[in-house]
Amino acid sequence: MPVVIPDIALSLAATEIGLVILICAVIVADMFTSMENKSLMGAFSFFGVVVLGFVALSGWGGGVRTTFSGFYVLDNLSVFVKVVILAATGFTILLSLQYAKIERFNHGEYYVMILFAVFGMLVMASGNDLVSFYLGLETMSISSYVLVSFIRHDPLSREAGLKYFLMGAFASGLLLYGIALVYGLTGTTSLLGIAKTLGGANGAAIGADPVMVLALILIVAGFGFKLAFVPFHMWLPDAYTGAPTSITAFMSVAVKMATVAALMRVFFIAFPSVAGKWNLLLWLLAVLSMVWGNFAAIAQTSLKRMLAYSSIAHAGYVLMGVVATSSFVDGKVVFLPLGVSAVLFYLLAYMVTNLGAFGMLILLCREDYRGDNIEDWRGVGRAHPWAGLAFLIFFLSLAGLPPTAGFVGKLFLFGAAIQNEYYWLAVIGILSSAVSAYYYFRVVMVMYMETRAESQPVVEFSKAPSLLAVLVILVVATLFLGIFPGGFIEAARGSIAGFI
Amino acid sequence: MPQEYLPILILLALATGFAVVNLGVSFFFGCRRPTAEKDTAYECGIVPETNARGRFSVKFFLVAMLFIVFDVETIFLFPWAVVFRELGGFGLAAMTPFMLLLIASLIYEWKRGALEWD
Amino acid sequence: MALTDYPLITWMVFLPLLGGFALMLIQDSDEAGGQRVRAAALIFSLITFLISAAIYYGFQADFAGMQFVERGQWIPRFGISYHVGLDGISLPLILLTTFLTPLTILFSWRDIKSRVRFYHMALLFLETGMLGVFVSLDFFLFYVFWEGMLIPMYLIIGVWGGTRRIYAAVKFFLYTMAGSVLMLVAILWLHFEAGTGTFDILVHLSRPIDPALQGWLFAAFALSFAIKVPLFPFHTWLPDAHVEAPTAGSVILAGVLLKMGTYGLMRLAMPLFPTAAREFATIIMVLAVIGIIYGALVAMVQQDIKKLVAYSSVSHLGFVVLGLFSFTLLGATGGVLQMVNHGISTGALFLIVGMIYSRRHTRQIEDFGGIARAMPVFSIFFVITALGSIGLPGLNGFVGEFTILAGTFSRSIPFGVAATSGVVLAAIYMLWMLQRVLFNGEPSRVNSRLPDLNFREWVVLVPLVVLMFWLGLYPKPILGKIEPSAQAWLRQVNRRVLRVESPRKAPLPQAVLSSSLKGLRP
Repeated sequence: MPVVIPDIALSLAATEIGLVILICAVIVADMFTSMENKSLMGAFSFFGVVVLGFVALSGWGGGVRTTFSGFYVLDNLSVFVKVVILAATGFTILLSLQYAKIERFNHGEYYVMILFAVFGMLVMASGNDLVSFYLGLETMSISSYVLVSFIRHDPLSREAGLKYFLMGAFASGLLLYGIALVYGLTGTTSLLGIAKTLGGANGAAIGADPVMVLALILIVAGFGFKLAFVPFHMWLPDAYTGAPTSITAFMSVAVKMATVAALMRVFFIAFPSVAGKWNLLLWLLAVLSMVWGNFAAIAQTSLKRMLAYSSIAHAGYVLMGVVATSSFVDGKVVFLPLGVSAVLFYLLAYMVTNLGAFGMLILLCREDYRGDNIEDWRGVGRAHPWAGLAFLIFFLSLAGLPPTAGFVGKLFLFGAAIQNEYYWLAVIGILSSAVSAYYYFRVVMVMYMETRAESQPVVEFSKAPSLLAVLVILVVATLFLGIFPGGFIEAARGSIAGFI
Repeated sequence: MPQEYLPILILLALATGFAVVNLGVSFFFGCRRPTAEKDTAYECGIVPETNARGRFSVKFFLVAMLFIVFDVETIFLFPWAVVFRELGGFGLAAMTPFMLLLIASLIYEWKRGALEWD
Repeated sequence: MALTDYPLITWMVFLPLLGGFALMLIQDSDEAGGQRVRAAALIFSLITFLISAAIYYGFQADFAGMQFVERGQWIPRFGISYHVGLDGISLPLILLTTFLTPLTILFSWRDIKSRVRFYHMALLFLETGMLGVFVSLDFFLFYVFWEGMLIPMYLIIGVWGGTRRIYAAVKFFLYTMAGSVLMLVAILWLHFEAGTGTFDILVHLSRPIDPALQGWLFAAFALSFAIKVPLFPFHTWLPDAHVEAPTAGSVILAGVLLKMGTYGLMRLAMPLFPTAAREFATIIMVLAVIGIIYGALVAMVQQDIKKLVAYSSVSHLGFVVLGLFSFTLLGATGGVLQMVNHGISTGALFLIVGMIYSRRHTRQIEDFGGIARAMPVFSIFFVITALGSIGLPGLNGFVGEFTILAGTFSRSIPFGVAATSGVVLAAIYMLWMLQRVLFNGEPSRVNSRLPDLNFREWVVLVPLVVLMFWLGLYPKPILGKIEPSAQAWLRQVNRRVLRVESPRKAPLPQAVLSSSLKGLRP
């Protein structure tokens, strides 16, 4: 029997291949590094990630190219997502360098696990088939479970890891079950193949099958767990609070970016003909997430937990953009590009902002003092105007106030919703974001308007140059994206080329 | 199509029936004269010394995991070896990274001391 | 090269911002450093004032359109441009802003001792925000300034304010924020749904909007501005914010920030949605009159001088709104003038209250009495300012209120009568307060030793009083600059819009939802 050798263009997967080489190199190099010099692994990973970022960027503008028998696609969307994820990774590594020493988890494996998670994300961004997407998702998830429980001596972190693992595994199961049902109905796992079958002669019948509805519900629920949409969010506050702060930051931006990109790819490419069904489900999740995330955040006393809840709300805003992409004309769905580009831009803005906000928590963290609570920031803005100003800018961006990245991002998300006449979604979203201003500014209030109690330890910020450099870059980026977003909006626009 | 599954159904019924019938017969008709000796746990005739739910050393799991890793490697390598000639350069290109990955992890295990019992 | 060829507006708006950043470089750890910060802030704000004076000088009074227009691409993909300009409506308010800011900096020279640099940065950023709102001709730009100005004000109240400052700051912030987000929805609707694809305000002003949809849009805009004005019953944040804010904050708040509400109504809400504005006119006028009378009555019973002045603002701003919604030339012109007048008089009143507070550390009326003997000069200034605020002929308040009332009477006599009663009430609460604070027998021992105005305070008050007389006796130059624009504005708000077809027909969200629901049922 002759062997058919598939035509595989490895160059398209250059980023992933490079990343695997980097991972191996870090693993091996780690074994020959003494305990004190583990930060070198971080620096090594950082430079690798920077190089890979440029490798990923070189794929821009090459049109839609698939390889690995259609399992893998490289288009502008995946390039955009990959570059943002790699940027977030670079920032996270720099945030971690000092923090890992303070929290005593400065192992080479930490960076290796981050890189593994990134590998999964990159595969997800390029996953053109439910199977390759799922592989990426699992690689990412399993690495994240480990990362969340990385402060092994801290019971909270262990608990967080276990919770995240159990819920994550459950979600993966749901998702896989949904994928299996879709495969059973359509006979393929390829996104394009599914769309073809659903749009074909029997498409209407398959689309109306109750099993299809079940499959969609399962897939939506699976995504819902992974992205922590209300009511699938219950693991998130514990996991985000217990995890090392750098990992919380990383998960809230990079995991979200990859999963949202995959969600858009799966729903927009594979299931446009049943858009009415999933769009309604997503509509509900978006509303619940925005409202509940923001209201639950008000009650928090832990700043980290508050940011965790706020990330639920932000996931809701992002989902609003996804929902708002679909417009229904005469029962047929039309995807309008504004929604997708708004989602991408928002995720970019959120990446910069949220990494910064968590970076501020790391800035305050010392061996004997975590600084995770709102109380710990009492009076900090008075004594340290620069740090206060930086935090203020991040909060402005999170609350969606000008002149910051978050404002432009929200403007276009809400704009997309209004353009496609999702008025209620826009109004609910914008009112809940007004609510969010309350709890963000409560922290500003504590920082600037209250004086530090005698019993509280003196504020002593970390002096790690890497951390300070990252924070400065993130502040500048938050303002830059808010004032001169033009180029990045064009990039977000351009990343839809060939997608929808 | 459902007819094709009929044999499985029959087998299922037979298996369940066999178990139920045997247990039921001995439950209803067997005579019971329990003694202390009869109530002890049966371990191939050897008198048990400790609780069966003792903990294994984590090292056993490490070895088991290593075994699985290299087992999978073998499973992958055998078919590759069979069609090695036909695959040619492509096969080599596909297998080399795989081997490199394994080598990297082997180095990791070695240096971390996973291969040493103590 | 003519004056209009220079990007004067950009310089004027962004110079304070630049100055704020420049202050970062100055150390304020010791007293000398604090002085340097104050001096630098004062210089920046004075240069800004000079630029605005140049704009005033170069402003063509007989031209109703936008002048000194600057326009550049910003985010072309979404039709956002950097578009600024001013006309006779915004010019007086800009001058008011640039005029009041150096005075507040001068006033707080001794007042603010902690975190001097930070304070002056906030003040200068605030100035940029306020000027930006008045010159923006692009919704995006407008909203950026509108929201951006919230933060410095929030900090000024919250950090340097009185005992209940945090409550007041949060209340101020939440009220304004809640109002403005709905305006954002309306702006986005104008951009995306109205099919223009631009955020340019002038473009939107020039094209008619379907009267059937105007109601909602007007309500969204008007709510945001009504909170800022503040129109009764959205005024409850104002007394708190005013009382707790440091004097400079109160001056800016009363002098300029409140005007942003009336300016917004005038520039955006009314001319964009003229049909809806006419429909809502009666309701808003009723609210304005309630505000006038309610504010005056509540002011009458206040024990705290600052609170009294704060409530008088509610009353005075009611006049402005009344004038605007009378849809007459007199009302509109008077409204703009009254905005300026109120800024000058109330600003001066807050400064005066601040001066007395920094001497006695109390603002309770009952703690004073007879201080005219101890502080004769101060008392003269106080009386002039109060009379200006009441609307005594010959002083600034009279011109504005008179024209507004004339406009109101020509439209509706009952409203005119009701509003006039507000003038009488204003005289009562103001004069009664003056009498209890300044005269009323012999000063107590503490009060008799109060020092009179020092040089710095002279410098602060004299320009204000000069302006009061100038605007009261010879308002022609400023009225001449307002009038052409007011006339153009009146044409705009009086135009009738017939039914406009929506550019794009698409199902409403409810329809989408129900169709999706149908799909869910197997």
